[in-house]
Amino acid sequence: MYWSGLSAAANAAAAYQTGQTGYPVGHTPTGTYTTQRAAGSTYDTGYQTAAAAAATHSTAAGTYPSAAASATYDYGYGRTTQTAAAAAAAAYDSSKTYYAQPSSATAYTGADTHYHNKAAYTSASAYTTTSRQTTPVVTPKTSYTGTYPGAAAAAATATYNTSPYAVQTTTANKTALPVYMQQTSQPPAAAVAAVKTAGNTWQTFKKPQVPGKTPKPKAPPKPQQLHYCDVCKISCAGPQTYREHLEGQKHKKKEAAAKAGPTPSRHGASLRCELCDVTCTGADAYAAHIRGAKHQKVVKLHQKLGKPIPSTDPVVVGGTTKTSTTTAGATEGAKTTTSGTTAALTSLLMTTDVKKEDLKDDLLDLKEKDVEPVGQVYIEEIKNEEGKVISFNCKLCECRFNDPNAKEMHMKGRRHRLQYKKKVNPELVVEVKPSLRQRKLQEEKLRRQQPDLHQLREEMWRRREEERLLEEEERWYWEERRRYEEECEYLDWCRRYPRGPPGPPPMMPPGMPRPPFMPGMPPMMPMRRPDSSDDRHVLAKHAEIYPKEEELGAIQKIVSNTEKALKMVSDYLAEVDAPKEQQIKPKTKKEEESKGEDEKKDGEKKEDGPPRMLKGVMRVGILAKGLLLRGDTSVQLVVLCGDKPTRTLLDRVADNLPKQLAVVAPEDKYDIQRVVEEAALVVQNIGEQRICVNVTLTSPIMREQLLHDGDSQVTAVKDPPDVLDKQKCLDALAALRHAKWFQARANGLQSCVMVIRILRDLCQRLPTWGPLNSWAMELMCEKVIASAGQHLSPGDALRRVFEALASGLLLPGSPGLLDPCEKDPIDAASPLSAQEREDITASAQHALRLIAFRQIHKVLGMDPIPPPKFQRGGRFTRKRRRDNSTGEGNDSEGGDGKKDKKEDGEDSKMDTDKESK
Amino acid sequence: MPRRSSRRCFPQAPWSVYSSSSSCDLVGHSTIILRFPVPHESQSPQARAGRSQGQRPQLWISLHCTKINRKQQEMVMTRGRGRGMRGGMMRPMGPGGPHFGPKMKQFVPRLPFDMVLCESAFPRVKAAPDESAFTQALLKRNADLSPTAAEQAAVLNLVTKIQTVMDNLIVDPGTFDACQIEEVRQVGSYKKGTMMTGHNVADIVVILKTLPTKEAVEALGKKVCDDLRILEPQEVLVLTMLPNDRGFEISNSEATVRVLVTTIHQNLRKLDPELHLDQKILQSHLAAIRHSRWFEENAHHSTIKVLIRLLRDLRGRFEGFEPLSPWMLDLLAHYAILNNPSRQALPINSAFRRCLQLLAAGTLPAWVSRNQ
Repeated sequence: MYWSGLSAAANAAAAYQTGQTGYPVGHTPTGTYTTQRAAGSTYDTGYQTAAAAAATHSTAAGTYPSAAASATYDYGYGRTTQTAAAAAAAAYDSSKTYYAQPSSATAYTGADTHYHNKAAYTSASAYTTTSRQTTPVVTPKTSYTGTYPGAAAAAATATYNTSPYAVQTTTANKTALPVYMQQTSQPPAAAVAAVKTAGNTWQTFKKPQVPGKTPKPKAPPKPQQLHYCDVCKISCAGPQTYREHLEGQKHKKKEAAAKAGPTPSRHGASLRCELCDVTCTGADAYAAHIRGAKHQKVVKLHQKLGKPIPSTDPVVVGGTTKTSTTTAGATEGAKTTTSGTTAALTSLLMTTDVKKEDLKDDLLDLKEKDVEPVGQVYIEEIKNEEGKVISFNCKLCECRFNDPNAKEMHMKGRRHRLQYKKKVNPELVVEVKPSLRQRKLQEEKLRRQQPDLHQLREEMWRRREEERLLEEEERWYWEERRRYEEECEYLDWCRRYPRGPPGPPPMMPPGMPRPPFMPGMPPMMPMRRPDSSDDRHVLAKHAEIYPKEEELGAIQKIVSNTEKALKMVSDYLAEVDAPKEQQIKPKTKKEEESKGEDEKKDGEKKEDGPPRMLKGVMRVGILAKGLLLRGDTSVQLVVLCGDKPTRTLLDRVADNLPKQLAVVAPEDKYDIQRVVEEAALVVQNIGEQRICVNVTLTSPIMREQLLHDGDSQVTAVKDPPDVLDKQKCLDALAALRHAKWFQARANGLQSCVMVIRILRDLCQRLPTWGPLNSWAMELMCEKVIASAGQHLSPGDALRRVFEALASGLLLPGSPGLLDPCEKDPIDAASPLSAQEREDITASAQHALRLIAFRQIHKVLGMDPIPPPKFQRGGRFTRKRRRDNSTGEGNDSEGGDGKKDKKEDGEDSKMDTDKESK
Repeated sequence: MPRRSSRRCFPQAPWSVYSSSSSCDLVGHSTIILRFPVPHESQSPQARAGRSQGQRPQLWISLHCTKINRKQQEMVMTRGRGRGMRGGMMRPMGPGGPHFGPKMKQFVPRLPFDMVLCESAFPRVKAAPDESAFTQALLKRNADLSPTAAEQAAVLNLVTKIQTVMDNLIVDPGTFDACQIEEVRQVGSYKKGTMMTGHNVADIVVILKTLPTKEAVEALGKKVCDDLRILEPQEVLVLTMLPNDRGFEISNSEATVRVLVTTIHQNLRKLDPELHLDQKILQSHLAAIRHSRWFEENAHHSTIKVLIRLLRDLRGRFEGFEPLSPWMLDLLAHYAILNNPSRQALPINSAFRRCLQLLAAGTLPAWVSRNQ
């Protein structure tokens, strides 16, 4: 997986890649930082290793693999790029902005001119630079550039200054170098790197020259009879077992591990028991180990063997930097491991005072500076059956320990504290990060001192970087989120303004899903609210119930024929009556807007003279209001008479009308019946489409009498005996007034007529609504819609009507519907019984719920209309599907038996819920 | 302009109800949410700035929390702004006066039919029936529902003690490190004075500075309980503490205090559902604080309290009202009493009837059909 893109330099390194697989990648969850860190640590590792190896004067081959391994290690992180260097560069590239610009570039500038990328290098992490800074100062690099210019990384020879080191440092360099693109254009990248290497290598080799670091040559001869295995630090009972041990897996593993080099510890610096080759993560753990039986055993053994026993003072090991194990790998040399170890140990311990101080610092660090343990609550005690605590489980870090000490340590530990910070208290200060000034001082110190202090630096680095990792993660998250939202906004904006920046907000483009409560308009420019689903349903329903052209035509024809005929009847009656009344023809009045043929005759009439019997004919009811629905076959006309209409008059009209009709429309046949009890004639055409026109005779006098005298009985007595039914006549007069009111009020109101038509249809379809007379319904609709105070779309208007009914407009106790066409305060809905009112209210509530939950089609008795094509996103289809799937069986309160009388046929749509209950 | 006039017609349209359910089934009632532009929050410049930084402003209170989209938030927000122009809830306007960018849309609510608001359109045919008996009945019912003095004292007692303990914890946490308390506030019916008899439960919201892990909540509960025991040794036997997903309850023989735990806003996004209390719940607790603040400022009229109590009684007795949350009832009562043309508090009988009328007229799902 690591080796995806290797090139020359990488290939050079490829030679060393064996034994590399076991390398922990744990450092690197993701992100460039880790890469950087890994690279950096590798650098240090290799460096250190080299130093250690040098210290022991061991040139044994065994050392190199470890160095090489660590060198190759960082290749793993340069996954994508061509060379490891480039990879590292790429990694840095993205991260470099986060780092302070170090100043060490100058040191290199003069030294290696091959590099085009000094600037890039400079921009590497502050930390890396820190480490780099030390090298050039000490190293007379140029002296070596001459020496090893050709030392390609791949050329691994056994000489002192050859590739193992070269490669190692090369990679280290490369990792540290943000090479950018130039690196690839460098002729042999590896060679160039090697040049650079020289400097470092040189420096590395300086160390051995320090006299104090010379390894102790005294290595007591191995007491062979004890069959002591150096690698595993155990003694065997006899040669047989010793051999077996040597062949055993355990030993092999250890050997391999020793050869492969130290396993870098994940947890910063650690303490190491040199004797047992055990690394402990903290002072407490180390103490525990020293106390432990295993350690004691080894001590005993070593005492027995007369081997030197290192002091119990721990060796501080900075993370991956492990010196002594490397030497342990070099067992095959003349020197024993112990001596090597001791040497390394001494080299580590017996240095300058400064170094000791640092060591102390490190130890201090490891002791976590008596931090308060946190998160005791989250450590769960796991008990066995007897209730004895057998282990602990930290819920924050998801780890377990058996030892109470370990628990204590864990609670003080960094990892735990970080988790605690992350999960419990964001304000917890985890870092004992040195202040800026301290850090600078430390860097200063580092510069003064020598590479032995790598651990220190590295640890600091790691700490900072780990913390940053956390921060970064969070920051990235928000960054990403912000970017996403910006994108969304941009898209949104694009959609809204397809043709470019602002200007006046255009109409919603069709592709854009309509925002839910689309008021849609900025305050100053009202924009039409796009039709909602309710509107679309209402409009569709309206189109469905609106009469067809031919229907309208047929009705128009019979009505106008009847009107003409009646006019002629009126003329005829006037003529017949005229001889008695000096032949004066009264004027005919025609208010209705239809065909003006009559008006021609009107001109001839004289103004004065006794009134005609039939003064005029007017349309009332649905015909006048324009509420005709499809299938309506009955319309109403009112003939106003000069005097109270009598049966005689009715007979005369009925006798004469067929003749006149024959004159008006010779090709049509009409059937005329008189309905005396209704004070009306019924004109019906004979054909496939039976349309009947009710012609009611009435006279304003009937009402005037009523209004003026206050005592209708008295006046009625004076009337001719065969006066037609008074109530019918009054009703006809009221119908006239209603028609006038309707034309004045309702016709002008947006959506009102449409809603009334819809409701008419509803009243016809649903028996519950049957008792609601049309006048009350019209009145109510007009009031409700007008009181909204704003224009309502048809869907909204219909809904508002249902809302009004649902909130108890018709129920007893409500203000009632004051009839504007009557003198006395009269409730237009007074004919309704209490039960009917209740039923209508309940039904309206149910309908309202259906509308509210987007099942208006059930209220309207139609099929649902799919949303318009252009709106069909995933959103809409999903909703529609739900629409259908939840169509039935979910009404918990709608149909509590109140609509039981409804028939199931045509109004089943609205009652689906109830039925399926 | 008709729209403007409509706003004059409904001078205070502080609320509207959206159903979050995108489906249209009738049982969707349970997911109805009420949104209310919250003063202090919806209009603060920070809120607007916050939005531009990719954080969504908390502009609304949602009771049954659901996802709402940006648009809806905007609607609510801008409506609030529109109202701000009229006074009442005056607050600084954004730059640019009434002309807002493309996002700033005017929100014109379409209120459902409300007889009280359209009374002029419906002149009475006959005189209104005498409702004094009805009024008396309502008042009597309210008296029956109100807690007795003893009950009030018991709750007050316990609340005071717990508040004291919590305050002490804030000032001096001592060895208690499971969590840090930022603030303690009383909320809910206790705070609002709308408690019911027989339901001696007071609510307290504890805002933690730390993240509210379940363990921390439990530890806090224990700690409070222990401190209470120290404070009041004679109550040792009767004091109980029950942790739950919202916090914990501390009760003695007479009263219960629900301690609702939440955390500061900044912490909300750091929550991990595995470890901490549910974010929705925490948000609802923060909302509860806003609610009680709003109530204090806007709905202290005593008729409102009476009406709330009556409505809560209804809610308890009728299954159909179950989904109405206390906050919805508060808003409903406030609306029914104060939102009328004369701006005078409506008498209790009219207001009670109006509540039912509003509900019947589809106040709750008023916006559902538009929401597609």
